[in-house]
Amino acid sequence: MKSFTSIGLFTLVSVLSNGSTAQDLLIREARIVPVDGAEIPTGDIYIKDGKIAGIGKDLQVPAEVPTLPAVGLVAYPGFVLAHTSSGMDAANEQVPITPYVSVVDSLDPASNFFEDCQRDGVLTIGVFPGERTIIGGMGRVVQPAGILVEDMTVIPDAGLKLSMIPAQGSRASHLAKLRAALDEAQKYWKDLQAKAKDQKETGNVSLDLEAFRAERRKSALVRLLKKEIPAIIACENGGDIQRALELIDQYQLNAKLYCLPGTWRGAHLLAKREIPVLLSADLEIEEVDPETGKDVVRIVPRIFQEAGVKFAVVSGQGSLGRRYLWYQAASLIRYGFKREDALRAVTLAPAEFLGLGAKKGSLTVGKDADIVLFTDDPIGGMAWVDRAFIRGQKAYDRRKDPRLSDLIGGAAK
Amino acid sequence: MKPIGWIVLVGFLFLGCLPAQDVWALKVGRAHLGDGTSIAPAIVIVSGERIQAIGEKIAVPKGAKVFDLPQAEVTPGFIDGASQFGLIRGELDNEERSEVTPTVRAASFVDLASFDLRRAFRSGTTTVVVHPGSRNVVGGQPTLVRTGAEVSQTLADTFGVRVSLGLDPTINAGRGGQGMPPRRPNSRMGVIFEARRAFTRARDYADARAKGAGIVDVELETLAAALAGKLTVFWQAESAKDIYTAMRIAKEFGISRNVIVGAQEAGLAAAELERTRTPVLVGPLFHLERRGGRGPRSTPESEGEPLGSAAESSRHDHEGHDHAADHGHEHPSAEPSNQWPLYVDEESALLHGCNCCAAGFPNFAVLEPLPPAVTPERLFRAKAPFALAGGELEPGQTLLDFARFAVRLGLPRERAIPLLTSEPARFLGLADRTGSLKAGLSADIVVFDGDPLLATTGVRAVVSAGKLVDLREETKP
Repeated sequence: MKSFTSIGLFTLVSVLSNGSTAQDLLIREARIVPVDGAEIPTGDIYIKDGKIAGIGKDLQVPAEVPTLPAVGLVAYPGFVLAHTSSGMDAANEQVPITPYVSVVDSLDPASNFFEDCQRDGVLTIGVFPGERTIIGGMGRVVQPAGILVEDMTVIPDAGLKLSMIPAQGSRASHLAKLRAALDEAQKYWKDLQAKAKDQKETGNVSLDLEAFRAERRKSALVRLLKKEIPAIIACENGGDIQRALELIDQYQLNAKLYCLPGTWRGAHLLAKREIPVLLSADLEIEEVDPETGKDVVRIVPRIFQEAGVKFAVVSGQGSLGRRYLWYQAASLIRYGFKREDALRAVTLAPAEFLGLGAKKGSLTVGKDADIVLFTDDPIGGMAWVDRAFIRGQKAYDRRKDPRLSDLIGGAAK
Repeated sequence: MKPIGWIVLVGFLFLGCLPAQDVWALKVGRAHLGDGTSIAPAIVIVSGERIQAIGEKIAVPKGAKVFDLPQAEVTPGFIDGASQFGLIRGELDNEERSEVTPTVRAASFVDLASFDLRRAFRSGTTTVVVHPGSRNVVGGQPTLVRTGAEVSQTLADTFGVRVSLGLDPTINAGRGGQGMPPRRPNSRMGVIFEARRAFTRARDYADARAKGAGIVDVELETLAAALAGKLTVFWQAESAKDIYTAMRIAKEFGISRNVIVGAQEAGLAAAELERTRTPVLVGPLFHLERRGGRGPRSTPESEGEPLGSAAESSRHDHEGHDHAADHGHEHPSAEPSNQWPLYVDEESALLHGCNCCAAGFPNFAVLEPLPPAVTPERLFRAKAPFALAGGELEPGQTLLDFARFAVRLGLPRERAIPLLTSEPARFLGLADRTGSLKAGLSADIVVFDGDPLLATTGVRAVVSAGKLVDLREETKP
């Protein structure tokens, strides 16, 4: 009982302290790109209690609210990276079916990755296990600020990662193993229900240690089948999409798809489905027609758009460009997308993919104050993050980034 | 009909058709001339394979077709002075019969129809120098290629010889196989010894020939030509110490035409490069990611990369791979720190099978920290002669992106385009052929939708030797 009181007290204290540290702020005279509305050439953003309380020209706020002059800076909502395996100590388990693991135990808040996220204006991150396992474990949505994973967390159980991509062996055996795991969980869930009903009717309660152990191993899959958590299903080609859809229908899953470039062949299958889609970092796929030898460069997002599928994109690792979300948005514009659609694909669309459309992804009154002030429009490629705010609190300041100034000196004026 | 009659007739037809078919013009919003200046708006008149005239207000010949693109900006076709396009990586690009194979020509194994050459063309690179692989100390002779939308064309194949320093030539140390003699050098010192020995032999050979000796050795002849300044020596040197070594050997043997390629750490040797006026082709450039401190395991494999077997994945995993067994050398482990100790490119890591060797950071515990992406800015500040190279190792990582990121990291905007055009042309001895928008030069032109340095700008069309390829048509779905 005593411990419960102290936990309650601790929660209360932490709530209070959170409330008091969220500094209200008025960002003045920035160029504002809200993403879900028209651009404001010069306007103010009022941050109150960690939320956006007002956006517009010459906002009237209480006199005690500090102001931040932002003339010449460009305000964007924090970018949302909806799927990555960075920030973990290893992306994949060695065992192929591990529904009981969670990235929470793998995340390192001190990882350089989160520092890079701040520096690059990525303020919401979906961390999920990689694609080399059949059932990879539980993902988590975090923000790049905080000492403990718990401080960083936005959604603790953001979805169970499934993969349609065999790390070894054939797709047939891969899928058979996946189905077997789901079938087993389904049977287990039914047994549980029957047992509960039995207990209710007879009043007999028995302590079943084996069942208790099984519960721990299977609870994630049961929650998946109960639709308490979504499945994030990685697909590599068109056939994977078709088989993923079959699984979703058969097991009635609440599912989201993470699509590698080869999935363009299955884009049309998703047209009439309300399944959130996230495209991986490779936005182009190069193929050579085996008959004619002619090059075909397929622009994957364009194919999804033409199929009528809404999607978000992620950034990846690797060399210069594709590791930045602003670059991915710029690539979409290069491919002929409208600017607002391109911006949406790295902000609001990934926020919606994570189920955070009401809280993140745009500068909208009532949403979390996840705001990035850039030195210029980031989509052009020459801008740096000047300041970043997460839920109204300053998370990054370029003047206090010694590594950056060591590297580029006066470059980021 | 007599042959002479044919010639007269054909000649007559040719002249008659010339203004209508052979001369055309581009009217664009801005032309970046390649030397850092630009004119706006601009008219470029192309006649046959060459630029006939360029200017703000010049008369377009009657009957010439005019492409009027007021939003577009044009630059000279880009020149990639150090690529491995068109080679089947790791297989055909190294002649492993000996450490020193100066007569091997990249021209003999470059696939002119290869996808990467076509990809380079589409991203605006109209001229490339394809190098032999880096596993030989003297790897052979690079070849100059004009890229094409379909098939590329070899322009020259005896203008230089490539020497690899660093640890790439030690990769198969001690191993022979397939009737090959065992590879000799297993350390940086051994590699440098082989390079010195090769040039010493060439010098002795040249002396003997000068004194009337009758023996002819084609391999030594090639190296002697390099010593005599008839060929350019392309030194592949990634780390600062290898760059210093290249300059040292060049000085010892009085080699007058030198170009350093790779040169990830050229920023650390910038002052000496400036002093000796040794041109550098920097690239590929990598991002600013820190490695080493927490080890590569802190950044698991890319989400987008092709998924392969477990064995393939372990090639990325430095800690999981037995370095000593694979490469015959050990690396000291990095001290955990918050420095920026190691920067690697995953693509070249994949090619070489090892992060540290591939990026040329073999002893990363002792290196000064400096990520390659800031190298251009450092070289610019030191006024060292340099250009960018090594683009398109992976799709979407274009030569132009290197320039864009160099500007992002502090290079003045107007210096960006010269690093891809006039500067490499100068180092490669091509300045009278390409690399600038100037009357009389080859009509190698990249047409952009807008400002080429903006990440949102795509390539609209590429002109190579006067032939325009509209990429909008090509990539139409």
